[in-house]
Amino acid sequence: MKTLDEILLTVERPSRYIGGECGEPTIKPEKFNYCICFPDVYEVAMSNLGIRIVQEVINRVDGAMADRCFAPWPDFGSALKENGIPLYSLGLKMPLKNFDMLGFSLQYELSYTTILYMLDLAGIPLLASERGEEYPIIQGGGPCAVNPEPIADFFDLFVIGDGEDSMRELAELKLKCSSKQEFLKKATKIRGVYVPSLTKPVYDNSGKIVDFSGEKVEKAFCLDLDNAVFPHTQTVGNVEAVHDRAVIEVMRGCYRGCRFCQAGFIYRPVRPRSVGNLTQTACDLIRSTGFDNLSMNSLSTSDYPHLKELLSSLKQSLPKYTTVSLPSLRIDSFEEYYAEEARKNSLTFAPEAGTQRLRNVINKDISEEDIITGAKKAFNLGYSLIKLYFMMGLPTETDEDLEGILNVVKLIQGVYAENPKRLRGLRINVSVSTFVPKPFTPFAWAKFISREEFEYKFNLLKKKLAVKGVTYSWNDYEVSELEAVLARGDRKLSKAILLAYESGAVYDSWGEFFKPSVWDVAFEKASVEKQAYKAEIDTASILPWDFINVGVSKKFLLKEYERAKAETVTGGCQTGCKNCGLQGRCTLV
Amino acid sequence: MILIKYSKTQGAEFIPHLDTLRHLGKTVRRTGVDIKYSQGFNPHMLIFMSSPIALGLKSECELCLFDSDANALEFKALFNANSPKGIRCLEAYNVDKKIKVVADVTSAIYEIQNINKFNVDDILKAPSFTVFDKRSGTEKDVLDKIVNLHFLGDKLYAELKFGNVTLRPDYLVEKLISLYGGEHPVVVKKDVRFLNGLTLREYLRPYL
Repeated sequence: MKTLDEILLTVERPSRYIGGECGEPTIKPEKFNYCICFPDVYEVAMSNLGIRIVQEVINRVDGAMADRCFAPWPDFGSALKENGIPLYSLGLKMPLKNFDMLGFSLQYELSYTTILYMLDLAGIPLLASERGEEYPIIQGGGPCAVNPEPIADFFDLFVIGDGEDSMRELAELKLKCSSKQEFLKKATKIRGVYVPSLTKPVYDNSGKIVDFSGEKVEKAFCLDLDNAVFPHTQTVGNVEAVHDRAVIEVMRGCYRGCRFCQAGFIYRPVRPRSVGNLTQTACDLIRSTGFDNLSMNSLSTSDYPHLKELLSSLKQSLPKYTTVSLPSLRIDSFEEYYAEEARKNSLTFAPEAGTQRLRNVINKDISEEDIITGAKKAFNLGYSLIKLYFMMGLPTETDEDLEGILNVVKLIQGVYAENPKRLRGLRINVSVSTFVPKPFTPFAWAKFISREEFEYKFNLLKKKLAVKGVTYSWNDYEVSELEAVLARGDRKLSKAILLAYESGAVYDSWGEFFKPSVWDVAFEKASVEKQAYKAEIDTASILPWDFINVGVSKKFLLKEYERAKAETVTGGCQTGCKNCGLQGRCTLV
Repeated sequence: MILIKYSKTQGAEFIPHLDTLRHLGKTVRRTGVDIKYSQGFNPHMLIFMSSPIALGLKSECELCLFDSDANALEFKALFNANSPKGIRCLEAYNVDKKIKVVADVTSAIYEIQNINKFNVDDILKAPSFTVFDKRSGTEKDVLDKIVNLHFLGDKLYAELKFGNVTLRPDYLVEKLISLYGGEHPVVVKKDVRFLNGLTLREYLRPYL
């Protein structure tokens, strides 16, 4: 048997597992011990803002503390298992089994098997039904929690929506409860909490959902972000994180309403933070972390209503040699001053579809004129690398739409050729991902394309985009297919996920570990027909996630689906209220 | 200029060289002390580090030079109030010259625990002494890179070439265990020697 120190000497990047980072919250065991778990590797986990907010929320509750734990890379995981060392938290180095509650961040569907991997390494039974009082309560939260059904068998409860208030209430409740059952029962009274053992789908003889037993779930909202908990310091990773910078969240939600985008609907209503609050947070973060880069995050930062004012306020307040990055720029709202002082490496825009017709279908209301204007501004600033994001397999898509991607590329090349300031050749990276229908979007009922369609579209694009200066990249079909099945899945999938994990599926979002054949066998053994989850869904049927109300009404989403089919643009919230169901909560109305 | 001697222990020994550089930069930014920046298109902090130490080896003698006019003693206190666990400033000096923290360091002294005792002359007076170099996958004669070996109590002190020419102590330790036995070795870099065998203070005297 080896000691932990000896194991650390044999694994890749051992500093992932030692904790003790600068800015790590000071904690000690309390009456309620919570551990936030992220089912991916350290570098990815350390870039996540949500888990930092949740940790801060819990640590502010009297008698409660929150530690953190991230998925070990397979080399370290195997070494822990071989040497009988249970998975431990980074702060207190306490075995996960000794915590009262473990909270998993559900960021993407392909992390589901990694959750089981972490539980397994911690020595905790994977199925909620097999865990007694002696084991921690397993909780999930984050964007994938809006359809928690595929992983419902593994969790005791989910928190759906914003965690600022709901997680605090949950911690306060746990401090008062003596048994797991008492806690779970009372927890259902907290807004946003879903307990899978108390709310269940009711199936008919054919296996179709006809109703739900138990309480329905309302998404938790945090409407006043300026007064909500937000950490004013940030843990600086021992290993360089994917996003190794200070992060402020300028607003939550997006004005746009692109019909494929789940985040655009589940994070409604739009809630911008004030310039004063953001400036103060940014200064505190930069001072306490020592980062020299600040990222202004949101789903569409160039839509933040006070952006000019914020940038000028940050410029005046932040220390010298601090740069500010704006991710998520939109080509139709791109202004030169955003990038005046930034390094002119590359600029990313997401037209998503190649023709105006298809952009109308997806409610991405940008015109060719917008693309030309945006590109002109970028080239005037000196950019010579443009990244373009598109999707294939969108509802109503034709060959003409795919060929349109080349037209967009040519349009941008044309603008560049006319720019007298150009110093070098223009490079365009075209990334085309496969459309995956997601719950709580107008396209939730749409089909996911078949392999034959994918091959055809992929080959067509490959031929068309074989142009000098253009690089074409894509996602593998199997990865997107699994994401599609899990995204719209129901409880029957839990069995398949468990079987896949037991056969070696883990870290599915990492190309080097993804094993499609393992999943195929698991689906077959669990008698799950993948096609059923990929096909177009009848709009009259009850969906596995229909017991959850995220605020945006099903009626609105269906109306949007019809408008998409009719190629009609609805526009975003900025052009007037579209009655999505959040009137009364939305500050824009 | 400020030269600091700092430790990498308590887990920080697992932080690799480039991440250590990141941490040093961030620590200094947190202190609020003025450090000079390069004047290029992408300005970066002027920090100069000594040669990398192998991952997992503890050290109480890492060197780093910061281009700053601040007071060294105040800097030390601020550094320690802002550094990550295990990275501690042990000594700090205001120096009036850019010290060559790589080129002028010639050897490092390591304290090695849990190695069975042996006669050091068996190695020092042998015609050759080979260790397995994991990077190249070959056995290499390293006798000329061993400056001195001696036991003090149960601990072995090994002075090995360091700087532009380096012998990794972990390679030596593996060989010693295979020859003489020992378990769970603990290696701590204790000190460095400069040109002509000078200690840090002796070497710095003309520049202080």
